[in-house]
Amino acid sequence: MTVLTPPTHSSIEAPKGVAVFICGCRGKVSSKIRLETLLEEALKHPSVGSVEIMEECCCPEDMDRMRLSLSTDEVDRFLVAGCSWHSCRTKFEKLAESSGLDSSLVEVCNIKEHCALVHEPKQAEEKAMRLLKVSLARCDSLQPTPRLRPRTVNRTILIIGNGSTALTAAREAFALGHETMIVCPGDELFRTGEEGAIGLDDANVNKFLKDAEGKVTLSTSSVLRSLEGAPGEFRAVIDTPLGDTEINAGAVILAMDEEPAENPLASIFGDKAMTQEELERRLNSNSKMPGDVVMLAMDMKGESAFDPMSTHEAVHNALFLRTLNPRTRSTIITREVFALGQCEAGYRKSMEAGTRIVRSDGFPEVLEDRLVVKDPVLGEDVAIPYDLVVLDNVRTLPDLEELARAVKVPLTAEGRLKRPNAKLKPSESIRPGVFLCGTAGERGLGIGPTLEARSAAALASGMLRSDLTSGGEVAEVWQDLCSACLTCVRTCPYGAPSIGVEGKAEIKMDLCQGCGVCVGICPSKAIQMYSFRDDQITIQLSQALGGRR
Amino acid sequence: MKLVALTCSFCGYAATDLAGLQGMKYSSDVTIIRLPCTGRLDVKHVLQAVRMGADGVLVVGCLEGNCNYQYGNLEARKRVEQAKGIMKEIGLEPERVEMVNLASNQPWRFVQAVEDMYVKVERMGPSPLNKVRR
Amino acid sequence: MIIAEQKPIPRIVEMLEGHKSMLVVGCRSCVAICLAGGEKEVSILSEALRIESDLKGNGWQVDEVTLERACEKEWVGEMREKVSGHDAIISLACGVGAQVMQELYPDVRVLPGLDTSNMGAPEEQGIYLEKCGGCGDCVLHLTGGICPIARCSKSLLNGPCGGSQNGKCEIDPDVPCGWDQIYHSLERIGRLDLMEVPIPPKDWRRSRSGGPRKIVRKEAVLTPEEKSARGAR
Repeated sequence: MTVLTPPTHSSIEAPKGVAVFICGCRGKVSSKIRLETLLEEALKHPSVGSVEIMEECCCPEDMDRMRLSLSTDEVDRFLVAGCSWHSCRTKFEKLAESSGLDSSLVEVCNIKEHCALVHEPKQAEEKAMRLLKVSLARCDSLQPTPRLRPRTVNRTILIIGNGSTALTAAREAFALGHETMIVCPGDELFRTGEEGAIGLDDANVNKFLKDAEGKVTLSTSSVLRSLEGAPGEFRAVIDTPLGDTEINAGAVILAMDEEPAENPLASIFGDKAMTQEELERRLNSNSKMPGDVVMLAMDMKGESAFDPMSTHEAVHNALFLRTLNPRTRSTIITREVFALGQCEAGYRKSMEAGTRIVRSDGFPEVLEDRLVVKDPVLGEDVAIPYDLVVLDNVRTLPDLEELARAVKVPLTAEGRLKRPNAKLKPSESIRPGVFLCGTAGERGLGIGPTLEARSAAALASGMLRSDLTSGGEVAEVWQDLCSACLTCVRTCPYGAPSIGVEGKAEIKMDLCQGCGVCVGICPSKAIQMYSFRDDQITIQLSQALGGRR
Repeated sequence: MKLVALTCSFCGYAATDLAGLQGMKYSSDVTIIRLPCTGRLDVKHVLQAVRMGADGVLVVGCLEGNCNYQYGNLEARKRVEQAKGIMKEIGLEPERVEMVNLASNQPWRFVQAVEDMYVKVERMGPSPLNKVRR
Repeated sequence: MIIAEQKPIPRIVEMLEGHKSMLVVGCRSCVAICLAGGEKEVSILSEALRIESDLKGNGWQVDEVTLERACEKEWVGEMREKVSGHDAIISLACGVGAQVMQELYPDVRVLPGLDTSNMGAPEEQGIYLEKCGGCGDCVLHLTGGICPIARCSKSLLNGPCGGSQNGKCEIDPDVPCGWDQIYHSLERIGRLDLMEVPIPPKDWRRSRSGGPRKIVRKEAVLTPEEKSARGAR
């Protein structure tokens, strides 16, 4: 791996020449703003080599014209005044690459969304002139961002898991053509007779493992000790019963599940109690059901603490029960039914099928053959006879501390693996190249463990499809200035900075996500981001405010 | 009037784009400068903007708890508070600096924030720095 | 490390009366680490002073520099060129750094931008607690590794006093009693017996009562010959 040498604090190379393209956006901009005035303004700027007015920069014909204008030695960067940075940046970066320029030397000036579409012509034009000056100043100050040379990725996917989610992820990864290794801390990944994610049963699992022989390996009673490296080239040390082994993998999927545990309420009801899971199994095998089935979707305090989705389960199982055994009376006792999304329909059907739902603000009084609930609406006691009490599924969180430390993914306060913003990165962890699924992770979008596992495997596979580069808009420490005060180490959300052998902070380029929090907080101003240096922001402010320095 | 909005590259910038795409109206006196995340904000830059003649400075980040980088926006809020404190110390209205949190699909919140700042500056008058320079 | 905090800007402005051109000087050591006087704070204070100047029409020239260590003459000497032309130095180094600056630049007025507080450590980022009283006669081996001079409000050598309530000091319910901490530390070490042994009165001449303290390390002091050889180099 080679890294471009970072430029020194003050020696940013002066631009060779800037090519400016002013985009009319098929009239959306040109109807409000006279592009010629912008052209004249741009020409006044000392570093500008050429200015062209374009019809629509993002269409192939104009792209070709732009490529032609860029194929000169007098230009090393370009600026497009047109639409938003969000919509066209990738296109222009590719254009830069195909024109032999550094893709980090591209600046976009937003005269469409920020000007033409919101302001009256006169104001739009005034503002566009101002934005152009800001962008020209920023364009001059751009410097190549460091990039590691593209590296060939290892396509193996390492899965850490203890249950059906890991198996589902492995199955998906195998289907996508990846070699997979599953590391399971327990002595068995899929217990015989266990009901797992959809479509997994003993026969199914055995068939999969047979089909995938040589492609999917399972290492039980094994623990991940450390995970070094970057996406595409991770090195994992795994503690197996046969000793430590080092595994190379391109991506890692953390697929830890919560583990089944006994419901503490079971002891109250003895052999008259079973969990929702057991009930499902009985119903699946057409076992005979007694006359009065009561589902107690609560814990000892009457809260839904065992399983927040327990009423979801109860409503559906009650429907299932009534459909198979119309003579059975089914009653759900709970504080509140959470019928989210599709469950709303199931809830209605279940009610129509005759399921009774009794609200209770606390744990009912237990008599030998009936439960007594104080109905908050009637204000009276209601006695509900039972032959069978169905209790919530109880799961406990496995201890993830060791794993979290090994993969460098933090835990939440409740001890789950932390997720980034689930809406933006639904199946990823905080560390790039490490994906997250399984019920032991921080709750995400609630799409269920099966879909999450498949999504994580698909994302990992997608990431490994082509060679990877890292770097780009990252932060870098100028070690001469560093006080080794640890402020960046403490503040970074990604654990990218650490104090290196030199006794100064260094930022791991592979872990840095480019947010700049460390840049803003470094007391010694020893950290800068290549595209958001202090002086770049200052010069933009200056241009935005009329040129005062 | 001179207003500056320092936005993050995610919800902040996207909301300003959407305001444009939906043809919302707001004062053309505001110049938007993009940061990677509001966590990149430096108190120095806020003060620089004020010194260079900004009548108001807005820092626009994602909703709290929704930061693309986990908590950059919370860091930013602390720095905005620090900047406000310094403004007060040197006898400027701290209300000239504000932090706004919004989602990318809430362009009206951006428009509202610009509008609020505009009204506030009209009430307070231009930055005293611009008065003495005139 | 040395813990300090910035003076309120209006106090700094008051000190600057009569000056026209000032150099704000920071330090990359202790005061950078306690977020009081590193390059970042230098830049923020400088911006604030420039605004102040523009507002009042003072016409100040405010420049910035940050030293590696403001307590050593060699580093402070490195800013000689920067200092020339300025009539005041605003030191964002600790009180030690400020004095070294004044020694090296006797013609320029050095103004303290920080209040130097104590010798302490970060409890966590942004929270600093005094740990050492600098008494010149350390007794930590008798007190479970907790300094009675700095961490007992009365600096008692044989505590606690009657003001210790439920582990807190009477001066403030948020301040832990130093001697309560000492007791529990000795308990953990298994040396509660030390609580029974009175610590004799200290020789306070080794503390601040004996004038400025000077420590001479003979083996490190350069001889006149060495100095002249170095001067010739």
